[in-house]
Order: sequence, then C-alpha cells, then structure tokens
Amino acid sequence: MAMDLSDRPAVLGMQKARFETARGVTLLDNISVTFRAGCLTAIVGHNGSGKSTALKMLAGLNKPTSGAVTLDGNDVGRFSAREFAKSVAYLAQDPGHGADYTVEELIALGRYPWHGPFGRLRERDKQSIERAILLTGLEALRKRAVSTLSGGERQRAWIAVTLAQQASCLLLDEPISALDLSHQYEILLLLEQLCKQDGLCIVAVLHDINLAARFADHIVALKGGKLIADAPPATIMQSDMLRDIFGMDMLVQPHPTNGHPFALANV
Amino acid sequence: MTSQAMRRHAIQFHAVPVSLCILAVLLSLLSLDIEAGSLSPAAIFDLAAGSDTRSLLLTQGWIPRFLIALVAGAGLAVAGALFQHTLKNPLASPSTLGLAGGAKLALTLVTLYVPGALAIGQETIALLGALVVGFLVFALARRSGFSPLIVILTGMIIALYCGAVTTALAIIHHEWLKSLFIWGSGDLTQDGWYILEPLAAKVCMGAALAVALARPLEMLNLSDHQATVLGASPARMRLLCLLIGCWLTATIVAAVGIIGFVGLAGPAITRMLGFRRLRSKLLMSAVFGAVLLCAADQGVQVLSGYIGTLVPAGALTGILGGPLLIIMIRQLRSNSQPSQNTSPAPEPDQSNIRNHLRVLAGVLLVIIGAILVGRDIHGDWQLQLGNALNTVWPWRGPRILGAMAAGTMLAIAGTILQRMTANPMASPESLGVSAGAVIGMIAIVFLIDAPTAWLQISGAAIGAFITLGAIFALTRKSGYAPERILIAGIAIGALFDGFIAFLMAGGDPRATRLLAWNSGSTYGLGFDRASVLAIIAVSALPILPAFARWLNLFPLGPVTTKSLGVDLSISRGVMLMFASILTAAATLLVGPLSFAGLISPHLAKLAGLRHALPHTVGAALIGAALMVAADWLGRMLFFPWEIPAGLMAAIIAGPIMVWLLMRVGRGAS
Repeated sequence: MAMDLSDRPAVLGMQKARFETARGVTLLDNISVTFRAGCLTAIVGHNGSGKSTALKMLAGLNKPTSGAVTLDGNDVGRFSAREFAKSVAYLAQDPGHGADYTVEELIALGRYPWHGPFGRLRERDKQSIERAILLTGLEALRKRAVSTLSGGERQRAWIAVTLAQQASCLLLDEPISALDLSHQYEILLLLEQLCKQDGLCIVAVLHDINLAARFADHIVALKGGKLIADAPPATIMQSDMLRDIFGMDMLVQPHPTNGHPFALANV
Repeated sequence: MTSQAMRRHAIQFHAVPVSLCILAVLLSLLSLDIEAGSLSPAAIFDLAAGSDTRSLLLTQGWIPRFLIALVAGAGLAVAGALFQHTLKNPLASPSTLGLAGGAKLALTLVTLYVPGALAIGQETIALLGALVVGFLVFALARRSGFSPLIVILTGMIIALYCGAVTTALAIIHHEWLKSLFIWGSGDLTQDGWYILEPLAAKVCMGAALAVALARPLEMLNLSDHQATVLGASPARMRLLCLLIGCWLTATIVAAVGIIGFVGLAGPAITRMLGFRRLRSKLLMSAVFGAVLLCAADQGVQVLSGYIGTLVPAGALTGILGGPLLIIMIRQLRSNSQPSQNTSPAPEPDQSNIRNHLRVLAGVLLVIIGAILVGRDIHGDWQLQLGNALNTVWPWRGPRILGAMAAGTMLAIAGTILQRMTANPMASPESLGVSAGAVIGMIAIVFLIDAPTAWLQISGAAIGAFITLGAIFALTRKSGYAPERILIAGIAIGALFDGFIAFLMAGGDPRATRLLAWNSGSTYGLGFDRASVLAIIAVSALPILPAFARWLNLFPLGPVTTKSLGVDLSISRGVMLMFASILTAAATLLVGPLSFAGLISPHLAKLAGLRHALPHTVGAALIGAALMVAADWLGRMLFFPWEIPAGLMAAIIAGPIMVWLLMRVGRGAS
C-alpha cells in the first residue's frame, strides 16, 4: 500500500551533499534526499555505508564538504544552536552513561532548548517531561540513576530525552539496537504514532530490514557512501533490491497474518 | 587536505622537537666552550687527560653534570608518563603525588630543627621524606583500589600541604633556608661522579622495568571491568605503575632537587606528536625529557656566567618548555580528545535543604568568629566587642571582607573550570592568569623604584590580561577544548613560574618580599580595595544560575550537549572569560590564592552537593569560609607574626580533605 507522500511538506533535506574526512576519505558522495513531515524514514545499509555520517550531517554535527543540508529550505549552518535544537532532536549511537543523573533529571535536561540558560522549568516543560516518561514506560524507573540501568532501559531513557525536547524532527541513530523484542516494537509503534498524530519527521537508522519495512513510510538505502535506493518499502522489499543493498540472497514473503512483506535470509 | 599540505604540516609540527634538540646541542657546545676554552676535540681530550684544576672542572664537573641532566630528565619524563597513564590525566606529573614536596619538607625540618642529622647526607633525608609521603598516599588510596581520582586528590592535598608548611617555615626562618631555595628549584652542579653513577643505575633500572612492563600496562586503557575479564588486575597494575614512578621520582629528587615541568612537558610533547602506545610513549618521553633538561641546564650554566648569580635549572625548564608546549598547541589540529571519566560511582545528590543549611551555618560561624575573636597587645586571646572591636576594625574588617570575597571568587572560578574540563586537577592557577598577574607585578616592582600600590595592581592587571588573551588566542581554533585550555594555562604558568623562580633564587630582597604576596596575603588591604573585590564577588553570584544550565549539560559529552542546543564554542568561551576575570581580580588584590579554587569544589562535592548550581554556590560559601578562617588563623596563631592566608588554607584544609577522601574511598571500593 504505497502512499503518496509528495504532498507532505519537506522538512530536512540533503542536496548533492558530500562528506570527506580531514584525511581525504570520502564517507558520503552526492547524496540528495528529502525527508518530509509526518513521515517515518528508515536509513538502512551495511556497516560503514555512511548512515551515521548522514544522520550527523542532518543534525548539523558534520559540515558537508560540498553540497547543502537544509532545514525548511534554510541551510542548517545558519541556525543558532538553540533554535536548531527546538526543531531537530538527535540521538547518537552511543549517547553515554548519563553522568550521575537520575532518569527524571536526565529527561529534564532535554528541555534546555526551550528554557535556555536563564529560564526555569515551567508547567509546559513539566508536562513534556511527564509525557516523555509515560510514552517510554519509564514510570517505575524515574528515580533510578541512569548509569545503573540496563542497556535497554538506558536507551529508552535517552529516547525519552529526545521526546521531551519536543522537536518536530527526530534523528535517531540505531535507537532500538539494545532493546528486547517487545520493547523494540513498543518504541517503533510509538514512533509511528508520533508521526501520524503529531506530524513529526522521523529519520531512524535501523538494522533490521523487516522492522524498517513494517514501520517506515519510506526507506533510504546507502551503500559505500552512495545513495542506492530512496523508495517506499514495497519497492525495496524485492529480492534483487535487497541483494544489491545487503549483498545477501534474500527471499521476500508476505507476513501470514498482516500481509506486510517479510525478508528471510536464504542461507 | 592535500598530501602536500599534510607533508608541510607534518614538517612544521616536527620542527618543534627538532629545534629543541638543536638548541640543546648548541647550548651544550657553548657551555663546553666556556668550560674548556675551545671546541676542538683534541684540545678537549688533552684537557680531560690532564690533572690540573681546569681538567678536574671538566671531568669532575661539567661532564657528570651534562650526563646527570640527561639521566634526570629522562627519569622524570618516564615517571611523568607513567603517572599520566595510570591516573588518566594529562596534568599528572612527578610532583602530583607530592613526593617532591615531602622531600623538601623533610630537608627543611631537619635543617631547622635537627641539623646534626644532615650528617647522614642530604640525599638520604630527601629520599626518606619522599618515601614517607609516597607511603602515605598509597595507604590512603589503597582502599579505593588506587582509583585515579582518589590518588590525584590525595597526592594533591599532600603536595600542597607539604608545600604550604615548607613555605611557611621559609617565611619565618628564611635566612637559614636560603640554600634550600636553590635545591628547591633543582641543582645539578656536580663535584664528582658519585651522585651520577648510582642515580644512572637506578633510573635505568626503573625505566627498563617500565618499558618491559609496557605491554601489560596497556590494559589500564580499558575499563576496569574489561581488564579484569581479560585476566588483568587493574588495581595491582596501577600500584605497580605508581611504585615505579615514585621510585624514579624519589631518587631523582633526592639527588638533584626539585625540577618541575620536565615530567609534564616530556610526555605532553610525546603525546602531541602522536605516539600512542605506552612503550613508545615511555621511550620518546625519556628522550624529550633528557633533551629538555639538558638544554635547560646548559642554558643555566651559560646564563650564570653572564649574570653572575646562580640560576636554578628548574627556572629554565619552565622558560624553555613552556613556549614549546604553546607552539605545539597552536599547531594541533582541532579535534579534541575524549575526556576520560575516572570518578568513582556517583553518589545520590544530597542537595536537600539540610545540607545547604549545614554548610551555611558553618560558614556563618566561621565569619562571626573571625570578626569577634582576636588577640590583644599582650597576645592574650579575647572576645572583642564594642570599643575593642572598633579599634581593630579598620584593619580587621577589610581583611575579612577581602578574604571572603577572594575565596568566593576563586572557588567559583575553580568549580567552573573543573566542571568544564571534567578534570579534578583543574584550578584557577591552571589558567596561568595568576602567574601572569605575578609577572606583571614583578615587572613593575623591578622596573620602577618604590611603586605605589595602585601601580603594582595595574602592572598585575596588565600581566593577567595579556595571559588571558594568550589563552584565548591559543585555544580559540579548537573551540576552547578543555584539554587545550589546561595545557595552555599550565605551559604559560610554567613559563612565568620559571621567571619567578629565577628571581627568587637570586636572593634579591624585593623578591623575598614578593614571596609573601605570592602565597596569597590580605596584608595591607584597605576598605577601598576590599570593597572592590566584594562588589565583583557579589555581582558574579546572579550570573551563576545561567551558567549552571551549561555546566549541568557538559558532563554528558560534547555531542549530547550540542544536540540539546548549546553552542559549545560560545558557552566554553564565555565561562572561560568569566572564570579568568574572577581569578584575575582576586589575584590582583590578594595575590594567588589558588588553593581555594582547587579544593573548595572538591569539598563541596564531598559535602553532597552534586548538581552544578548547588555545587558552585556551595563551593563559593566554602571558599569564603576557608579563606576567612585561614586568614584569621594566619594572623592569630603566631601573633604578631603572620602566615599568609593562602598557606594557612592549605594547612587547614589538608586534613579535612584527607578525612573526607577516606570516607569516599571506603565507599568507592
């Protein structure tokens, strides 16, 4: 069921973006892609294909060597740090152990872009924090020190931080890699819901192509720093396409119950 | 970057250590020329083979001195590299554990009180002093498995403590201790090979052992868990590393006195050149340490000839090494290294009302006590109220106010720096700003006859702001990266400290008067200057909540901080400026009181105040109380003699911190 997404407003975009490291290694080459509001886009590809680099460029952490990265049509570098953070939230692959904060305190830090250095936590901030805790199911862990949580619990805490930030774009680098299966689905369902209901633009690097196909509206595939596919899941979930992206022989079957395309390694 | 540009960059980069080597060679040749009268190998051999005075001066003086500089420099640099590796802190050096301080204190005490004991040899006493301190640090840190943070803090306290007691004694008894000043800055003069030979053997043994163990010691780069799971024992390895480092340091200090900066600069240069593995770091540090000390000592010999006074080697290591580090910092590419988190398990935040009130109550008690309690002209203690208080108020009032304000400002600056750089060893002194102020003041005192107080302050202000400008210029390209700031500050500080040591050892009476100011003293403070300080301190307080937000985010790492909307360059730059201004203002009016800035943040944290704002405010209060108490004790204890507040603060706070650390250490193991 391919949806026509071209009427949704474009939010983040890369135009012929290229990234070269200081030592001259090209990590991304000639990437042009648009991410729209109300869309959940999954970035897939082999290890080292440039997924994290692309996400960091969208988050303004890496400057493109050539080409442009834009937010609402304006170059990403033009925004001040706080203004940008109000629109775009970024979750790194390894966000760290959260220093010595409790879960509550860490999530509260996600409100920084709104209250800035001089503001206090207002009602709106507190509501946002509560909502983030509720949505990620961390109610029972609020007073625990983040560094004492399990890997998966800590990842949910970091996701809650990005939710508390209330940005209209979420850039998530492997947000569910440490989670158990039920929590993986839980988070993806949450992201799907946020997309539909709140019209967020969500870009997530995902390793599991099946989860990507099930939940994403759009899939961007990178290989060796180049963009090789930018299409809805139905187009991507074809044997030859998957062989091109992952270098593996895969069979695509419809899910017995809900009909979503499912890829199985043919090994 | 094109490969041609890269090659050019690499050449520029390596130019620094290469020029150091060339400089060392040139200075050695120059000094040899002065000593032997000519540079032709034939003439030198003839001279060496002879048996008149000049030959002896060459074979028993110059040659062993040349060699011992290489040996001591290499040994200190290897010790420094070992400490930096174990303690995971680029600021660690052989003096970090306080061994040199212990040696000097032992010598001072023996010289003053048991001079007969000097018969067993200066070297033996120094060695004993160093080993006692080493043992103390180990005993205190053992419970925590020699966790880097505990070792650093313990060593720091003990080092400062020994230094403070030594300087206090030096101020009171300075005529008897003048000779120790030279030793205290490093004295490499030799009159035979009897010091060189054993020292060379010990240093070679220690260094060889370290290099042989380098591969297993690499495991300390992993987290404790990972290392244990791979079959290593991190605590035991740290102990081993520290032992070898202490051994090297103690024997070198005992033989040639305290030579600072080599143990820091050698490894720093090595690290900046890109050597990563411990084995190569140890070897290259040894090389650079040897070359640096050789250059410094040969330079000292050449200079002493021209100037006519004895110049301590330690003075020149700073003057030579400081600019080297500065040049290398400029050429480093702007990728900051990740900071290592070496703190023990976090304690729950106790920023509840009770803790705050406790701190506040303690502070008020101290201040009231300092105002009301004093000694009269007969030296009797009395509670002074009413008329008695009015009589002394014009002198006591400003000093209490000044101490309070300076303590507050330095504590705030120290807290900001420690949180910003995530380095427990950072202090306002690390900025080099106080050293700049001192140099400015010295310049005025030496250039102008009988300068007025305001003239001196202006000189100090100019010195401080030039230093500040230098730090900013050096670190701007990297976005004020924390490690850069610290290294730049230390390098500049060492450079200036070199000049100061130069002057102190010369015995100039003006320099000795500066010694008291250099330790931080409120002497002669009037209400005019104290009020200025107080106003600055008070106006700094409302800005703190704004910075608190930033300081809360920094521990999460630069990526998270940036993605939450904080512009790293601006926030770091602003806070650096803020901390520097507070430091400069306090230093100008009260002299360098860096201990307040170093210890108050730790005391506040140990009192349970963890988050940025309670931490900073708590540290400010504790800094104020500490300085008032120190100033008061300094004035009252040995009435009518005065011990500068800065020294007294170290002496009081030392035991308190050690006690608190022992409590933490128990919890962290």
